[in-house]
Amino acid sequence: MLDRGLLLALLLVLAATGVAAQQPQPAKDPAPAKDDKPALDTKADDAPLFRWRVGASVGVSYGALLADPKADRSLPEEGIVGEFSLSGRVTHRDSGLSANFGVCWGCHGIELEQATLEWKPVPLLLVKAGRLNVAASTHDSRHGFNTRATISKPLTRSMGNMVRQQEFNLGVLPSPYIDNGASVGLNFDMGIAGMSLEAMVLKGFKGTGEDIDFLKSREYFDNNGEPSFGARLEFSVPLLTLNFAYLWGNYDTEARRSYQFASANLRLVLGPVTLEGEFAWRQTQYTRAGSPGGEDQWWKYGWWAQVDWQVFDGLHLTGVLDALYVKDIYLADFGPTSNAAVALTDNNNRIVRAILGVSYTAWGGILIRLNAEFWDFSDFNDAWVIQGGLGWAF
Amino acid sequence: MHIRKLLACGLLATSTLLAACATTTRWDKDYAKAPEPVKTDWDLTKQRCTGCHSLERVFLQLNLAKDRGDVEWMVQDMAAHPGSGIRQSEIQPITDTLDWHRTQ
Repeated sequence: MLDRGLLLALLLVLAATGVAAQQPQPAKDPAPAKDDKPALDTKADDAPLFRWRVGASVGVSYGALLADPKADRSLPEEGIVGEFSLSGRVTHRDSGLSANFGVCWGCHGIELEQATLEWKPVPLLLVKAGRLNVAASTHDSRHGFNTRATISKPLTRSMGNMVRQQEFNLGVLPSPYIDNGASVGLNFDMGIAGMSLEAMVLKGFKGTGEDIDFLKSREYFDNNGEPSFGARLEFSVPLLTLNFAYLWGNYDTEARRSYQFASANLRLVLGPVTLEGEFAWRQTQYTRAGSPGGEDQWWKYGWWAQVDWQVFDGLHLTGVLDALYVKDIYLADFGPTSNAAVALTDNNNRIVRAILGVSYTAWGGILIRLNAEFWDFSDFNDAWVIQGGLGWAF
Repeated sequence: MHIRKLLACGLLATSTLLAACATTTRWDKDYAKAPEPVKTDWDLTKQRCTGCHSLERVFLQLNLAKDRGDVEWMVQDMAAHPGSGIRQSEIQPITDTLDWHRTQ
């Protein structure tokens, strides 16, 4: 209740700031010829003191699980689901300060996805603090319905829409990863190549069992009073972008059980064909029931490969092959467990999934999407999922 | 059997190549009339923007831009997104390219 109140108050303040900050604009001149246009200095005195913008995204999809028996409910989001998000940004001309917010209304109700204060005194440096959309890989800034190529997210970053998601407890690290914290980023432009570095200090994940509880981790308060840490390195040349990320922290109340996450992803653009790939890995410590102490650990890792072909204009064909592995822990109907007595599987599990999708962006930006997915499980029945969706964003 | 596989692969490669050459967007014909270097920088703009979203979304936002400063600010905002691949030196050409269309 308190969180909702805080969220609404913050939204109202941001909205009021944005509206009040918008300077009256002079009547739009007829478009000048390019040669007559003076070079822009964004800090010129005649530029508005504040600039602001809003964005919105909506996506609705229908998913059907084709599995035996028909009563199988292993895809919790089967049926119609939707997500709506609203975002905004206000920038002050002289100080390099910006305020950002993003709100998502979807599977978890209304969530504050981002509320940050950013300071960019020079192009090289970017400091962020607040409620961050943590850049654990490039998926985190492209997780929305309208910015990813398929209705389902990669298994490495799956947050839902996943067959057996309760047993596997989602992907390696569900995207987006939203957390309280601060980051400092450095951006270098070296002619043909660019590089950026980011260091983060975060509240971190929470959990009481043998795995992270991703829902509890979204709460605003920490459970162990210790920060978690992260780092990201991005390298780009004209056709290729490489991104590496690492996160570390303790997730239990006693700050004794740690997690480590590492990912590497790349995107290669070859004309109308975009190739993307990712490897993500997480090591999670746990204390075995009845153990006098000493932490055991288990591993969750996966890979994802996607080929997206822009056939013409707004028509895309997308093929995905990805996999998720869980090693050295059993799976029960509530998630990973060290207790073999309640387990549904052995302690070595795997999913391999293939997706074939087609999407078309019609005039006005309306996105129409159809996906067929085949899920191959090592310890559960295989399944087909058919999905269709509509989206729009600006 | 091998010949059939080779023919199928060849057909797929040829159709991909043809499609690659033929790939256009609804804004290409506008930019074909643009002066240099805007015309050339349109390819860079397409590549960077479509890495995350459709070009429709770009031009919808562009409708809201009141001046060139708004366009540049929007590009700077996008460049700050992890994985955008937009470098500092590319902000100016991408801004020029989008702002040219705004003023047409």
